[in-house]
Amino acid sequence: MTDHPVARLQSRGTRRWLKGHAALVYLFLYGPIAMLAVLSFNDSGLPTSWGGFSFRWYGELLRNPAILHSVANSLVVAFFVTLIATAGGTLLALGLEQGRPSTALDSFVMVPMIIPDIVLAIALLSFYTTLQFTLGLYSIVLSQSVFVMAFAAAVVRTRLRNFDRSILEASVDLGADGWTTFWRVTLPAILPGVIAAALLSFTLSIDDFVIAYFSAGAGRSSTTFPMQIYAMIRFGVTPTINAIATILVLVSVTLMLTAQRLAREAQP
Amino acid sequence: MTALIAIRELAKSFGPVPALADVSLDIRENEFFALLGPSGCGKTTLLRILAGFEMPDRGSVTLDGKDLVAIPANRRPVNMMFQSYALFPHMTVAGNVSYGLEMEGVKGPELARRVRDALAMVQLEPVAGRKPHLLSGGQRQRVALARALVKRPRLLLLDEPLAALDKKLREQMRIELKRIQHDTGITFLVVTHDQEEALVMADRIALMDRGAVAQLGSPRELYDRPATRFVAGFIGMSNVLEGRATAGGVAVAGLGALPATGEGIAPGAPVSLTIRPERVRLVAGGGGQVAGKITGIAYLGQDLLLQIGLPGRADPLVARLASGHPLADGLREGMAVSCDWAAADARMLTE
Amino acid sequence: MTVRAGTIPVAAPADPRARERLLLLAGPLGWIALFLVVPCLLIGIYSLFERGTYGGIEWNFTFENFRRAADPLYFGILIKSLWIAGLATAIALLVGYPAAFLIATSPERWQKLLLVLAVLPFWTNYLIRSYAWIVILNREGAINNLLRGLGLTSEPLPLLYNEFAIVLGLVYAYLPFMILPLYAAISRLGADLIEASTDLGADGWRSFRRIILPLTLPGIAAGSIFVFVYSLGNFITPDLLGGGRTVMVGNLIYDQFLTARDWPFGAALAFILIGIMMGLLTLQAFLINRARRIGTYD
Repeated sequence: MTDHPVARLQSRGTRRWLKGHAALVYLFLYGPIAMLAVLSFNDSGLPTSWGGFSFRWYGELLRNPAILHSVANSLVVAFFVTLIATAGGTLLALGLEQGRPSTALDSFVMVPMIIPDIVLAIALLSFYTTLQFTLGLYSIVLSQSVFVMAFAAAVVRTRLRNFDRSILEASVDLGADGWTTFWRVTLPAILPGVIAAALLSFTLSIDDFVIAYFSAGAGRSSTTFPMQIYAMIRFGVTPTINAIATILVLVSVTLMLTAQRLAREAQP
Repeated sequence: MTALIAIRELAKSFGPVPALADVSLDIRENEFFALLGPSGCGKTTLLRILAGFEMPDRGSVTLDGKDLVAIPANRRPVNMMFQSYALFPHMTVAGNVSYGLEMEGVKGPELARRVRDALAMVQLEPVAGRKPHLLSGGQRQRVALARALVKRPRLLLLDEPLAALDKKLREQMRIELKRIQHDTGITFLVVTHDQEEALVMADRIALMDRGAVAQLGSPRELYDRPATRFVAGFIGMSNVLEGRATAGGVAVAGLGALPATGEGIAPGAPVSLTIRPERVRLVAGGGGQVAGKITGIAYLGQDLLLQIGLPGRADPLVARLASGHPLADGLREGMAVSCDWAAADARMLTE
Repeated sequence: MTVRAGTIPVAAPADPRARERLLLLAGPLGWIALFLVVPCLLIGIYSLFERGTYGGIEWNFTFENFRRAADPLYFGILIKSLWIAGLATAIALLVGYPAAFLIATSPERWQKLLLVLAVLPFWTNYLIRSYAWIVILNREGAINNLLRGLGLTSEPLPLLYNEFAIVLGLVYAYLPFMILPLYAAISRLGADLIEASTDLGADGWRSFRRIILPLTLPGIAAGSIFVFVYSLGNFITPDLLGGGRTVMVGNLIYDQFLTARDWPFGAALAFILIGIMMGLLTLQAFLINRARRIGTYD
């Protein structure tokens, strides 16, 4: 094991301090989530006393029709958002990585990622109202696709940057036209990045509350999973949320770790 | 001449791989010393230990008789010119050069004067106010040099100082570095993989191989009297013929007894005969010790390089002769030639 | 397709590569224009008209909405939002920098793992992460229970539903966004610069102040802008951890659209947020461009 050259220049005290600090940071990041996971198996449901190990709250979750309905809604929305955002994000990445880098264009593409979600949410609500759209699941799909697409593009771009562009020239040199080159060379090379972008898109859509909330319109029929969670949290501390949290964390973490792997694997 | 730096049985491994295996050597005051060797031979590790960026596993390094290893990198009277130059991109040329002096607490007019002097020495005054990204490669290299020299270190370490320059500039800078070393009187330790560079610049060379010093000596000694086959092969080009030692030379299978010199080698011992291409002489009309056929001719301008195929051997004997040699014009591929060499020019090596 | 079209003979006089780029970008950029730029312009227009009696817009031009944003009541909320966002950003920077530094100077094969671990919490549901802090901080929550159990307090501490809880929640939520660009900036730095600084006689602190800090400024700016903008526009955290009172501008906008039904005023507030965001993004682009010029970025 070789230390980083900079680490070797630091005194042992400094290094120890940095490590201790980092340990606290990770504890801060994971402590609360870990606590919810533990509580989800607590029969008493209280954060203050252990009533024995149980799957009770998971059972209640499965018997709650409102929750199941909202999960179904979220999955439908996430499916279409993933399709649109992955396709759009891939095109965006290919376009941006071609030709001279443009700070202006890069900044523009960053706007959907950085714009406060409340602002985007009310802007879209105003937009739909002005056009007299009837709101529903499909308007959630349209709204989420905007910001998810920008994130998807960022993932594909990382992949594109790490791949040797001379293979495209080689393909053209060997007689392939642009279209063939895209299908036979470019796409296979960036495919792991595209899949990673799809997984990310799915996660972002499933997790989004604010944009969906404002784009869903009135009525319970288009309630998504996060909207359901929000209602439950506003209502008070409910042990079922611990079970939801544990499941959601597991799903998101699995998806993101897979995405991470794909985005980076087989780098030259 | 006294030893400025004394390195004793220095060892360092990275994991299971030894980078330095008990290296001992002295670096003298005022000399231009070169650590030469292929990549992975340990020369960079040795340099980084002297700079204080690596800690040795065992052994000692003293400077003026005082333990150097115990001194932290930022307090050693040793400075380094980095292979990448490592110029601070957010500072001007003058800012880069004054940085080290500011760390010593040098201030005011003295700081200004010393920075100016250092820039003058490398002819960089006109660009003193520029940032590194606006400089040419050669200018950057000289900023890196001035930045290290301005602190007047007892020992200046130069890590492949010329590697990033183009060929022409590299050749100029060899002479320039030599001049600066002479003018400042600072001891230079240069690490390089380029044997020509080491031969031109250094007073003494330590040729390293797999973590150990293969041979230490003046450029002339290394070239004319290589101690091992590795040295003979690394410095310049050599023909190598395997055989057994005889009273006046080496008996090589298929070629008979060939003249060579070697000290303290018992007859019958397995040895290698090495002979430089430029020491191989063509003999007109046959009658040389070795006969063969020309298999290739390469024209190098001033010289010709001949490949001579010997009966029963895969590797040709390489001979180098001046283009103006009386026989040069008549040489053709496929021609039978005969050659020999003086016993004093061929060396017998046992390892 | 990212073919270098210069190698293909094309009759058209226009640069084929530019045309191809346009073809690739037209769809997604059109989408962003339609569902982001147009709606944002729309609220810009809304903000300049009067509210209707039953919600909606009365098409009478006015600057009243922006004037109202300067009323002490609303201006106070805006200032408080800036303060809370600024505080969260500063804390995230102070906490995140040493952590990012440690990650960037760890042995190579550990770096990836540590980085993934630092970013992973971001990919868990935001509401869930906020909820965790309710469980920890409330009067019957984990911390108060612990303190009482240890006999340190008799009355539960009011940890939840105040500014402290909001700042804590924001730092928790956005710390990964701080660590990521800082890590990128620090690892881009190159060990040889720090070695050179040490070699020239600088101790750790001076190397940090004169070399590391100035050269990681683009990363500091990027991370800070992320955390600041996200915090400033946030309404979930003040809503859940701040106790439902209107404390930050995000809540105010939410109220105007969903409760008070004063869309033009809400739009004006949103427009102010967009203005702040654009200003900060411009600043960042400027910093990155400068860093690119001197070769310390990308």
